[in-house]
Amino acid sequence: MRYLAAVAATGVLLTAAENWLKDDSLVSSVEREVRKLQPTRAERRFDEIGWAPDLASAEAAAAKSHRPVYLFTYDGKIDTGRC
Amino acid sequence: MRAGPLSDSKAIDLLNRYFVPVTMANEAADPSGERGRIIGEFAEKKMGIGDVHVYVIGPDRAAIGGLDIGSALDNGKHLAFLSGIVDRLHTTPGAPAFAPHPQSAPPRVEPGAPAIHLVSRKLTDNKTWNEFPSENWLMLSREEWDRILPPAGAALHATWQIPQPVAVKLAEWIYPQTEETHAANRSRVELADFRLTLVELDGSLGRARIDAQVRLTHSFYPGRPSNETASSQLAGFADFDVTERRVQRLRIVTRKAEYQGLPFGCSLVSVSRETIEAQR
Repeated sequence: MRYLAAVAATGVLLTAAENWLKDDSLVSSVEREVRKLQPTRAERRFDEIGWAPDLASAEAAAAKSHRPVYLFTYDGKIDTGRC
Repeated sequence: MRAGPLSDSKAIDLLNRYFVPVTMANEAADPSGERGRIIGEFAEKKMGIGDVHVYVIGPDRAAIGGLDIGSALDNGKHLAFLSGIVDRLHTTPGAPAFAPHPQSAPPRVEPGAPAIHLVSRKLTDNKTWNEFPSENWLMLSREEWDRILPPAGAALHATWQIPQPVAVKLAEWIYPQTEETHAANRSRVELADFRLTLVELDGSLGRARIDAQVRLTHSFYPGRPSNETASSQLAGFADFDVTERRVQRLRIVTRKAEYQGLPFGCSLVSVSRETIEAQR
């Protein structure tokens, strides 16, 4: 995800605050370990599919574009991998 | 499916160009009854049904074809199934009906109450139940974030603990990939000890080191109670503005963690409302 890429690149996220403490060895070591665990591009290929937000939207788009709907049903939450 | 056929380049291309793909969890509400109607039609026409299943319906919503999960997990069969439908319907290719976008999306949050993105994965070469990490979006209220901050007037090297209700919220998802069929968490948190030490203070800005221990029981399979335990030692930091009573960023990561005798890693990263809104 783009914001995670931002984390990886800079270790800093946007906030309303203008003032920050400078990063130190604690911050660097923690950020390094955090980066190792983040989902990789290969693990996110599923995101390259243009999934419809819901079944009703998919059917409406299918009718408009004259395409079939591909419906995958499952248990849990496939988007977050808790499934 | 996510790590196999739905990560295959040819399948991704076919789905984007010729289909309108959509996923639906079995526990998700079906207020219109449309999912039930589709499954009913497939059952009536003896086209195969299942909880984890692929259903293809036409632009007119009529059943076209289905694939049981065993067959769908075979990449060759899945591709042949998709190609066969494209050939049969003479569908005209085009751009994706919906633009691809990250499926693990952060929730909307209130000002001053960042979301926390949790990522957890087994640290083994074994791919079983480890094809991709698990994620969660944790939500703390503004009041709960406030309870992570140091007591008023805290001096350098002061220590404090995150109160239990908030600590439990941070701890309950710290386990690796397991089978989940419901959004509700079935963990039983036995220990959620998050200790903070004020290591830097510069005007209103402060930084606390976090040392934490978490232990929870979490059965690998839902509906099969067990005493499988996830134990973690974690470290991290919190940057905050004591005057504004606001956490600027929070990072916590496992230093050592184990579940079912196997090591795993887990990270918790705050994501501000500003970042979340900027990415929408």
